[in-house]
Amino acid sequence: MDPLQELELLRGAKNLDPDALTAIYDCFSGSLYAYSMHMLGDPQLAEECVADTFSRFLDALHKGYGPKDYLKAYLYQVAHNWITDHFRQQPALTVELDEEVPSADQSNPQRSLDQSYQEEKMRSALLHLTADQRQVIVLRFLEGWDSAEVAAALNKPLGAVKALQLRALKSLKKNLSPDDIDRP
Amino acid sequence: MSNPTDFLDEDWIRNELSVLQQVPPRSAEAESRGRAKFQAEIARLRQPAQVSNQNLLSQLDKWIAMLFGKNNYRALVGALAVLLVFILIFGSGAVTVYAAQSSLPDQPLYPLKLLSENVRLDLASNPQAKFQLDQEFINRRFAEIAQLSQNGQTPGADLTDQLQKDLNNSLDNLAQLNSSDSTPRLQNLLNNLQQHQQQLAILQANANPNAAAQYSRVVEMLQTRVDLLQQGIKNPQELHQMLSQPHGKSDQHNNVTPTPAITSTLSSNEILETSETPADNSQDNCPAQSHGQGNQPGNKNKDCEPGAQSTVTNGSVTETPISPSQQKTPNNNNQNNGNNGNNGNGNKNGKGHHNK
Repeated sequence: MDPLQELELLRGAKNLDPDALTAIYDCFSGSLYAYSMHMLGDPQLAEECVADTFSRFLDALHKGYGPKDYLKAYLYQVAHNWITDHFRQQPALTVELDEEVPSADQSNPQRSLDQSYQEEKMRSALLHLTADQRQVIVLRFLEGWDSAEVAAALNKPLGAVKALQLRALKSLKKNLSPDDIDRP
Repeated sequence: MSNPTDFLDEDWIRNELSVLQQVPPRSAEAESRGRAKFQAEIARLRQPAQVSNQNLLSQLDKWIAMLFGKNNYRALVGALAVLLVFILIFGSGAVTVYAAQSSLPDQPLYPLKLLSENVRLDLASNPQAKFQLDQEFINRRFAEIAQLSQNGQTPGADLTDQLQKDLNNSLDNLAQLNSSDSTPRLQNLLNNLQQHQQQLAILQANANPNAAAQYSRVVEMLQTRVDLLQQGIKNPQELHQMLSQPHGKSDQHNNVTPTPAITSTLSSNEILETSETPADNSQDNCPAQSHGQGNQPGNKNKDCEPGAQSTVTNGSVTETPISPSQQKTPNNNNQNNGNNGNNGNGNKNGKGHHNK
């Protein structure tokens, strides 16, 4: 969605225009779901995160708040906060291999098991980052945003985003090294 | 697994994260359910708010908290309570004073009415305004007399004393105006007093003997001022000069010589009977002779019985005692007054009786 179209939708959304709001949902709910799935790895939690993100968005618009210009960045920021809150409420993180991990590829159970193991290992490494570091890494390298968009989403200067990225990469390197794989 | 030496490479992290890139397809049912829920929420927010009284109060609380901050909310409520108490106190006071304006001398609020009149006089900025107020208060006194008469009551000494005070005040303030300002006001005051005289005459004619005596006293009081004002219209400069004399100075010292016409007019009306005063009051009970003292508050005429003698002092006509012999021979008043005013100075024109 180009910025002009995004601003037009945002103007309609501030007036609680159903068409504009529905268009926003259709445009961003899929990518938000994917983002949530990247971070949460659970379809139900991801759906819950998407639903709450749009609900908070509506509530903010109704109270006269909401995004001023960066609609996409705002929605991702809300989803990111939801995910951060979710993990804060969880018990201490442990990486365990679940033997009953569901897999789409039932024909090759060994491959599914390896895939799940790698996913959980990566999520575990991400969850050891700070919230800002995690969001920079996910948005930059999973969602494919450029640094300026990430800076807008985090409401931080570009230099601060690059510093966050550098520290996050160092931390990930340390956590993903072969000796630390099993470390929680 | 990637080479650990490339950990700063962005390609390395992209490669590491690629395991998360594959997201199972979203359930169409869950997606449509989420969309329908979102649209229902939009519809709910777009409905016109059904605002109840309780909601209004909570909205008011929100606005107050938003405007003044949550920390100042309690202080604001306290300030509003204090303001309300002040409004109640001063508002009820103002209502009481307003209600007192229609009170009569025998009613509890009447002193408040007189007090409010004094305050208005004190607040008046110039003699013109004061004179205007004096006229208003004189009219009030006569309205009170008429109202009492309708109620079958007789005006008491307090009311007539207050009337005398208001009349003297009006002459005092008239004296402070220059001649061009005072002349039209002089005529207005004269016309006003003459109208009241006529109304009093009607009341006197229909009153019982006791009330008629009181009305007679007021009529005579008025007649003294009417005569003075009539003479003043004939010779405004002389009247203005006479009324402007400072207190306590004799005519001789100021070289003011009232015309014989004014003197005779005043002299012929100097005796004002007071029905409330016992006839056996001695002259010893009278205060010091009021020459040059004006009409002092509380200087009741009853202390100066059996007769009272009018003198003009700085525009005020006061009643001074006369001897029993003078009372018995009213025809000698003019001469006696002249002697009183002489004070051994040999002023045979009687000007000393004006104490100017």
